[in-house]
Amino acid sequence: MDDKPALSININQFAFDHDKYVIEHIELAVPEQQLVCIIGPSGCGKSSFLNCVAGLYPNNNAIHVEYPNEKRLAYIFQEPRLLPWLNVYDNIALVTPNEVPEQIYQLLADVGLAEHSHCYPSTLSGGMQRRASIARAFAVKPTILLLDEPFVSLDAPTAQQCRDVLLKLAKLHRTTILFVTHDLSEALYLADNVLFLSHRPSRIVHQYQPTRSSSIEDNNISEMKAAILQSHPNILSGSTT
Amino acid sequence: MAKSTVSSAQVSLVARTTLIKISVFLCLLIGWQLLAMGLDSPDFPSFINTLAAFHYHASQGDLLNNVFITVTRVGISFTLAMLLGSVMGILMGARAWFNIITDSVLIILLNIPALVVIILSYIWIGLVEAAAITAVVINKIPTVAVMLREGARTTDPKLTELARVYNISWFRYLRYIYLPQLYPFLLAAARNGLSLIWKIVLVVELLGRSDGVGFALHSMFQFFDIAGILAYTMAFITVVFLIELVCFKPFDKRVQRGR
Repeated sequence: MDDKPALSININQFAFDHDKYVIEHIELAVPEQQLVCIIGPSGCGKSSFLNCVAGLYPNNNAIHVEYPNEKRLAYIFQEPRLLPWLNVYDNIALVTPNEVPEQIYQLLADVGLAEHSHCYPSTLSGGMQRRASIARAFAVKPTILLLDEPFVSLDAPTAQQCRDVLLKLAKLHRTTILFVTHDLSEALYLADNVLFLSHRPSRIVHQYQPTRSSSIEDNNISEMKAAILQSHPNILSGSTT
Repeated sequence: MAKSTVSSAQVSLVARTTLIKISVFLCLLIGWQLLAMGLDSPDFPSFINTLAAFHYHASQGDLLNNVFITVTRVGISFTLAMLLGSVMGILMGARAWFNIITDSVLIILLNIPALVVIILSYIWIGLVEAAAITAVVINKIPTVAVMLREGARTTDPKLTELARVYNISWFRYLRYIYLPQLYPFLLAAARNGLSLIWKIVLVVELLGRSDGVGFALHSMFQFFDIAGILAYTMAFITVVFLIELVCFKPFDKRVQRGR
């Protein structure tokens, strides 16, 4: 893997309007094709951080993000955000108007939705909607992919299926990923690098580079989790002590 | 793209619904006929007599011509009112400053009696076609604007974020993301608008035109030709049903798709 940063982020004292700071300071350089998980307590500003990187606050001077030369950004939100009046195929075609149909069908096959291209989102299960949103994200052949707790409301087997689809497509498309979660096991399973955020106003309080595990149930993950929590007992609540 | 299949259960439901609608319609006609036979009054002609009057006015009189003229006026007024009202309503819902500027005007327009607008149009513009159309359009714009303003206020900002992140072009955003959220409001405004415009156009024709259904009804009223009035009403209802069947129902089906 190349260590050249694909994404350089520097957010300093970010706030909504004249409100209190949401992010105190986050400076981060993400190497190409790395999957970085961001973990932190509820309300610490994880989603705001991703929104900053996605460019959803365009006129905020606190945000400085350098994208790769060829910037193709995709974002998988907490909820699938599929358009209910378009079927699965059209939801994907919407973000990539020049894509040939075969490539969209291939993506649908990759996420296991080949038989459901004509279905409307309301007729799909939660897991299928997530997979449709993953297919939509990869339809733009993203160089940068942002995910905001995308599998939070899914049952364990479906979430695992979605994670594996994500890893497979990320490898295939050589995508750099920022993944927000509050599930430490998920972060340790997916990430090349895990960043722990503090309470609001958030900052990075700890980093951890997990070793690759074969499944989320792996003993390796339990051991890493135990080691982290032993050295930083309150890290998941946003504290360094 | 694969097409969705229509199940036999859906076909049977549609057939049953159609049968119920036709039965209700037939019951109304039979009820009318029986009531008219019971009353036996020239002021309440039977369905069969009305049908005969319809045939007479259609073949000998100006019924088709008058209906065509009224439908043309309704069509022009409806198109203009929907276009202007939609633009105004969407701007009011989407831009707070525009809403502040136009809100008082909208309240005034909503509450001025239709008759006042019609009379003033005829006085200020003259007894011409433009005055008739203007009066109808001014009467209808506020109700369309109110509905579309509510629609624009309920659009989902999360879908706008989606469009921004995925760099979706303005045209595609409008066509696939923004307007579909407004379709239910547009449909409600169109249905409500058409029924209101029909009524206003008739008053406009009655007061200041020498053709159209409104003018014909006024003439028949002077001769107490009740069967003729009902015949024109029948023609009128037939046109409304046709518009519902050809325009609104397919649009309604499209709006409901996937929701």
